[in-house]
Amino acid sequence: MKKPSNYIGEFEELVLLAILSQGDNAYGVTIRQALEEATDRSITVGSLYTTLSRLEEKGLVQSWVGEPTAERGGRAKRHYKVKGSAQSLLKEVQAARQRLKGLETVGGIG
Amino acid sequence: MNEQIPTDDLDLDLKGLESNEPVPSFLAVHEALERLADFDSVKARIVELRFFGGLSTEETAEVLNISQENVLRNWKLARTWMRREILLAESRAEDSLVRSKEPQASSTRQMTSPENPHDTSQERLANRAPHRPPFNAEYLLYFLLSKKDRKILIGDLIEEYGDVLGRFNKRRADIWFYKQVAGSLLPLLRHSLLRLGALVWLGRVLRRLIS
Repeated sequence: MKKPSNYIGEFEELVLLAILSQGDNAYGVTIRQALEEATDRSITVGSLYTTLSRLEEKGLVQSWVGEPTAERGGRAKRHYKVKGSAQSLLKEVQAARQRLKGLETVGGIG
Repeated sequence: MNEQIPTDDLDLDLKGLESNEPVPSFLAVHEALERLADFDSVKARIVELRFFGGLSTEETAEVLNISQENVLRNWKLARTWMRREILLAESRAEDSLVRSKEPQASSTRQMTSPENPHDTSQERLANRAPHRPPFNAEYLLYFLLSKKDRKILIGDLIEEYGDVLGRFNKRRADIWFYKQVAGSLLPLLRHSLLRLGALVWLGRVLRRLIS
């Protein structure tokens, strides 16, 4: 059976999906707000940025620093983009989830 | 420009006005800073970073993305203004103790701005719109994050703080900010410790390979 190139946890998967949902406007604030809206739970900036840092180390996202703005106290924002390898990994994870759902029904658990 | 930027005394040196004046309390300095923030958020921020945060002129200029000359100029003006405000506040406090039974003729308070000491405005008091997050919470992050990361993360917090402030009120925005910082401490600490642990482990492996 083909193994994914990297293992990603549940929260990492959600962060990747949140980045994809924001398109070109994916940075800390928009990613965090998208996650909170989707999961209906409180997400702190600390947990988000540590996850983004891990994803970047795994080579699944890339980031670049934008322009500083006055509303941010003169600080720049860091934008994120999901790499192609991560998108295929997400598809694999979702396919695995579907297969497991099918097994659940067969086993009579679901 | 090759000339060295003169480093200024970090200490607010508030007791320098009169040699027998007592050192002002932290609360007095904090309240004066709050009033300064109503008029000039840049000067207030410089005072926070230099006086409370212990940052140098160079570091302050980097955080605020302004020149060192700008920091120094604003720092000197802010310092002078705060000295005067703290003395005025302390003398008002003493007067109110003496005249506590007298009816107050006016509840107004003359506020001045650093650049124009004769400029007073009651509208400034009425339309207080502080949009500065609680600096004591923010400073916790300075210990946990690298310089590169903290600018980005704190920028996010400031941006969202402004959103919450616009939608609700300062109290709710402050609570949101404290919750965000408190909730971020553990993940950031864990992340730092994991990196440190990985470095220690790598060091041990390298030492074994070499020896």
